[in-house]
Amino acid sequence: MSSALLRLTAVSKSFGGVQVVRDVDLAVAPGERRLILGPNGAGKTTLFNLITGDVACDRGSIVLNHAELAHLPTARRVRAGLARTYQIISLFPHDSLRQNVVLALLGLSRSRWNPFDVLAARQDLRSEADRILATVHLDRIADRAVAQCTYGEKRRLEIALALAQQPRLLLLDEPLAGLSQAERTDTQRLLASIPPSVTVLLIEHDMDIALTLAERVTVLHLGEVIADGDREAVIRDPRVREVYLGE
Amino acid sequence: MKHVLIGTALAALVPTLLGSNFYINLGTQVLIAAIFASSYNVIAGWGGLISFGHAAFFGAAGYGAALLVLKGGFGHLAAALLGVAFATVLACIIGALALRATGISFLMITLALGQILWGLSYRWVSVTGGDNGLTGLARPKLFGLSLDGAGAYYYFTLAVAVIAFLSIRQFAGSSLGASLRGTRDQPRRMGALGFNVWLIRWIAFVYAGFWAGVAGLLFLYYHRFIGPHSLSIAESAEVLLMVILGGAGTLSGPIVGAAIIVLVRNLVSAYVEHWPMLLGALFLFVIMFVPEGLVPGLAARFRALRASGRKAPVEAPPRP
Repeated sequence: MSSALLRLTAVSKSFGGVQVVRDVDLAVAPGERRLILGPNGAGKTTLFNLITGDVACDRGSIVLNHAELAHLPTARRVRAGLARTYQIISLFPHDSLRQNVVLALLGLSRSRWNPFDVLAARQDLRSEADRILATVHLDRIADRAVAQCTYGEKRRLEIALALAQQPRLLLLDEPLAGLSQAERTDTQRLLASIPPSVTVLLIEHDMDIALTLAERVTVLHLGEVIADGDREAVIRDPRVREVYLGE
Repeated sequence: MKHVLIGTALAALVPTLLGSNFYINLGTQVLIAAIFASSYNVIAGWGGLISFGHAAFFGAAGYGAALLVLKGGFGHLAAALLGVAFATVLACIIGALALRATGISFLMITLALGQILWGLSYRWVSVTGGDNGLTGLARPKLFGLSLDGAGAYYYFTLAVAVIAFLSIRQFAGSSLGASLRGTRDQPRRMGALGFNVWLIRWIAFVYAGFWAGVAGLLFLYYHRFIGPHSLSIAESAEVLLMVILGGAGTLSGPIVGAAIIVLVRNLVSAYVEHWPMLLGALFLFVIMFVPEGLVPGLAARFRALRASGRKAPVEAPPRP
């Protein structure tokens, strides 16, 4: 896969004496939906943190669209085309949903440094924020404070913030966690509607939904890749069944 | 803008309404403290960074200008500009060092760096005059008008204060101001949205240092004196209390907090020997009943009273 959008080579990370991610190699093609599986403590979220730069890797290479990211700060990786959602929701609770999305739009705009504009009067950002909120069906509550939203609405807003960044690679960390069945169905539809120009890396424990979204699966166990390939082959892999399904 | 105009008009009436020089001078002190507190609010209120070294910039501008006039033979205008520039450059350096950390570590670094400057002012007697400070400074003339009188200096300070409040208000409502608040609420998320969290904080720190320097300069010419107390930890703690009392992260909160503390210190102390106890009781009241500060706390209760009986969807409050 020489034309991989994202390529990880021998990425490793230790915390103290514990090796959390060990020599991970990963290649994700443009437009691919890749599911990252693994039991709790397998290193999935740490791997995401290493890719985004929230945590610095000890060694290894992270290449996105031919650009080496491993030594760049998070903000510069984001400008290279990365966006992510967090397993633990991290939004701006006192602001409205629209203000949250406006901030996401501002992040990649040069005007984020402007101390002379009046943000509340920026109709261009407001309109774009409303358009993005409509794609996640939150436009009708755009003025509501995030703190007053349901958990499901917050999860969808997380995805809206990431989509507002127009990423090439979107990392979704358990986007269905904690949702009701109805909310899961809504979010599943939302994830399925992400345009193919956006490559998606997904951590999700709900196998029924996750396997409908992803064509390829990578399985981590104790920080190592133990299986990687198309979903049917990986699910049949005896080691995966032993580690992940307990068979 | 309407509130700024009304506030300015009311403040402009103070000398006419109160008449006596004592109260006019008190008004000048309130305005200087309000500029200082508003500058601190930029980093503490909107940036979420509690510093114990903010008085360093207040004192540095005062010392810088006083030394240039008294020992360097500079004119007032050049000394004033260089004094504020000195405070701003100092903020650039201290910000670059202190913002390597956040939270309690940031607080301790700013405290340590502030104490170094305080120690210099206290012990370097040949230059700073030590505990006696620097005295003998005359107030300058502005376009031929003397600022010696209480009323003239009050109006001069009011004009600078209005510029300061408008500038800080513009900053808070701008894209950069929104980014700064974002770094306070969700620094990790801000990084993931493409913001350079460190640089945003540093710009805010320097901007706050600039206005603290302006306040320090007004303080210098008001008292015609500058001493080590002006850059002490006590001064930094007092400005922190002003911001907390009035309401951090609001435009009018620090102004109200500054007014209350200056008035209690100057008026109540004439009648009550243990006046700091009154201040302590006031803080207890604020912490127990309006922990977000007097201005936002009382405003929220007023809104709740008006809205009682009506059920409306909860919307995010307008941001400055």
